[in-house]
Formats: sequence, structure tokens, C-alpha cells
Amino acid sequence: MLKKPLLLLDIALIAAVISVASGLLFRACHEDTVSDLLTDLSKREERTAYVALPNPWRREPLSALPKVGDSEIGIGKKDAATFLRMEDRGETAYPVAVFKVKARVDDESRVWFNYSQLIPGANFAFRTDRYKMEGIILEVRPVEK
Amino acid sequence: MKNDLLCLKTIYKFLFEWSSPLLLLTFVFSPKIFYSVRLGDLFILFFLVAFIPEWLSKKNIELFPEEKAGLLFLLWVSVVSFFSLIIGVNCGGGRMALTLGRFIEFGAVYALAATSNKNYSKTLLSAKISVLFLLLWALFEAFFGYFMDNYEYIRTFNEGFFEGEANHVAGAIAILANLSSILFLPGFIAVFFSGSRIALVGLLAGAIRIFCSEKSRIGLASLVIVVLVIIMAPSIWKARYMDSLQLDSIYSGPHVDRFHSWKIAIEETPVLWGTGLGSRPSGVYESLYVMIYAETGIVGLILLIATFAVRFVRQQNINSVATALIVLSVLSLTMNTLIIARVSLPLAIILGTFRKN
Repeated sequence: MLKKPLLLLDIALIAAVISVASGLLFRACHEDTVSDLLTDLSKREERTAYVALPNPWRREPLSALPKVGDSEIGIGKKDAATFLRMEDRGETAYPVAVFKVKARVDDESRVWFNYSQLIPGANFAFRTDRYKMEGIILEVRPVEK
Repeated sequence: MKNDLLCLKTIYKFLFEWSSPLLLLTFVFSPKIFYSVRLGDLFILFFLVAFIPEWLSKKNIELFPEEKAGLLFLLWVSVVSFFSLIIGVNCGGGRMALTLGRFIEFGAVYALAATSNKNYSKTLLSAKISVLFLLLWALFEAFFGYFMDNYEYIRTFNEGFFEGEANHVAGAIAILANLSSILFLPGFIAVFFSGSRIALVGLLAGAIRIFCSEKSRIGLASLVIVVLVIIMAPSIWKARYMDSLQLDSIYSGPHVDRFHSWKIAIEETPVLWGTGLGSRPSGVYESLYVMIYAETGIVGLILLIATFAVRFVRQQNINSVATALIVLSVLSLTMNTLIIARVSLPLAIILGTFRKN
């Protein structure tokens, strides 16, 4: 017979182990998603962001140049941005990088990338395993077809 | 054969005595190996398995009130999370398993520290080594690691080994640095360079202990230096903190998205039992209180707060444990503290090491 204080410990541990096991089993059968019953707070829309890159625009590691299709790898932002091309625009002397961004659009039509609002003048960082770019947003448009 | 046994026994005794200090160090040297599992998690597993004979030999375990509340919390979140999976509100089984696993790990590390030979001085030594190492790391990164330009601030602990973990490492420093008056200043400098606003607030909130300490002269001198650093630091270092103080930035800065997420999550929550652990990615909360309320309901939130509040009340004065709990309560405002191993692990060790205080 278990003593009283141990009973709580045992019940809690058994319940926790059953729950963890059921969670792993569930994961083995289905991809983790957000329930349709809940508002999808992780739902994202696509936008095109134009980012001016003041020097020095390539941060460590400096081993590579951007290639079309490079994807963001930052924690919590994986594949949230994709490099499309470099442009020279008259409004700035700096090179301009164009990204396809998966961003959150709130009820007031404001666009958010991670916790930063995608508005002209805001900072924008893009990281891959070969390089990192940091610059200032010039413009955000609906996604290019 | 006899020598081998003697050797094993010596190693076991060594591990038993040094488990808390060694585990405390793992948070500094523990890289991620896959998903959110760290090398340190495997190290903890090794210790847990090694100490099974020790636990089994104890026929009766005395539970303190806060430990009972903690177990009720674990029981509650397990049950609501299990049923949320069954009824389909929760479609994140893997996230649920990992989050619940973190809570179990927190409890296990606490039990490990509480069972092993509690040695305050060794744990403190380990904390000092960790904080001083992180200070050197921060200074190196701040002045030599990365170049600055004039349009942004630099965050330490956000590149290389600690990639993307500035807030987590700073949170752990805020807990460890308040263990000792001597550690406060090095901890402050490391946290200041990390750019972690909530960790800086947590560190300063925990500094209340300095005024209650007999060695308050060191603490007072440290606080004077802190104020001077804050006033005299170049604007590039202060920018992140100053921006938070501007009221209009609340309506144009990053805070809005967080509040917006909280609002939606709270509105959708079944008040009593929540939506189950892992029902949404933890990144949408960035607040332990909101996360626990949204995913385990008001019952879960009350049980969690009771766990730490009872422990706080049971302290006779503002000591290491009370300080760690103050820092925890502040960090949890904008961090999912308990599922961040770098922060929760040192906290569990401190709570366990000083179990009988």
C-alpha cells in the first residue's frame, strides 16, 4: 500500500507519462497543426519586401553571396522569408534586396514579420546558414505574381 | 573486481556530491542537438538514471506544500492536455509532449538537486563561474565579435554558439547573478549588453536582496555603478531600452503584436481548462502567465502561481530562493520561462539545493 504523500507523486507522474506518450503517438500519426477550432495565430500571408542594404550589409559569416531562393533559417522564422533578387533603385544609393515574406496581417491590415512591423524605415534582418543581411525596409507590396 | 567496484563507488559518490554544480554549468555549455532538445537534457537523463537507486532506497518522501501544489499542477496540465488531444481542440501532439516533458524535467532536476548532497558553496561556485564566463563572452562579443554601424544596436548572446538566445541567456544570468552581491555587477553588464529588456528588469527587481544583505555596501556600490552605466552608456547601447520607455512606441513598436496575440488567445480560452498544452506554437504567447492560462485555464494558472507563491511565503527572509522567485515572476511577463531550459534549469537547481531553507 502506498503512503499518502507518495500517492499524489505517483498519480501525477503516471498521468504525465500517459499524456507525453499520447502526445508522441499523436505526433507520429499527424503533423502538428493549429486546430480549426482556434483562430490560427500562426497563419501567415505573403508580401514582397524591398530592403535597402547600407554598408556593411553582409554580416558574419561572410562566406557567400545571396542566391535566388535562399530561405530564412532564424529560430521561429524558418522559411519565413525568401531572397528573390537584388535591385538598383533610384531612391537610394544602396543596393536593394527583394524578399518574399510570410507575414502576419492583423485586423487593421498592419503587416508583422516576427515581432517587427513591416513598414518603411523599420529594420529587417535575413539570415541563412551562409550569410546574414541587415537593412532598412523601403516598401512592402502585395506578393508578385 | 573489488577495486573496480570501489572505483565505481567513488565515481558515484563524486557525481552525487557534484550533481547540482555540474548541472548548473550545463546551461552555459549546452548546445541544441535537435529541435528543442539540448545536450544538457541528455546529461540530465544520465544523472536521473544514475540516481534511481538512491530514490528507490528512500521509502518515504516528505512533500512540502509547494511540492504538492506543483504535483497538482502537473496532474492538471497532463489531464487537460490529454483530453484536449482527444476532443480535437489540440492538434499539436509533439508540441504538447515537449512542453509537458519540460515541466517533468524541471521537477526531476529539482528533485535531483533536493536529493543529492546539498552543498551551497559548490553551487554558488558553479554560478560564479557561469556568470563570469558569460560576462567575458558578452564583453568579447560587444567589443570585438561583431562590427557596429549607426542604424542599429548590437545584442550579445545572439550569434554563433548562443544564436538567437539573447533573452534566454540573459534570463538565466538574471537568476544566477542575484545569488550573490558580488555577482550582481558582472551579471548586470552581461545582461545590459544582451539587450534583453525583461531580463534587465528582472535583475534589478531581484536586487532588493542586496539591500537586505549584510554585505549591502558592495550591493550599494554596485547599484551606483549601474545607474552611472545606464546614464553614461553610448546611445547605441541604450537605444533598445530607451525605445521601450517611449509611450508612442507602444502603438508602433513590436509590443502590439504580442498584445494582439494575448488578446486573441485569452478570448478563445475555455476559462476553466484551456485548450491544452501545445495547442498553438509557444512563440505566439511569449508570456508564461498567458501561455498557462490559455492552455490550461484558470485552474492551471492558479496552481502554477500557488507552487511558487507558497515557496516564496515559506522563506523567512529575502534570500537566494526568494530572489530567484522574484526574477522568475518578472521574466514570466514576456517569456515562456518554464519551457526555456537555459532559464528553468538553473532555477530548478537553486530551488532544489535550498529545499530546506
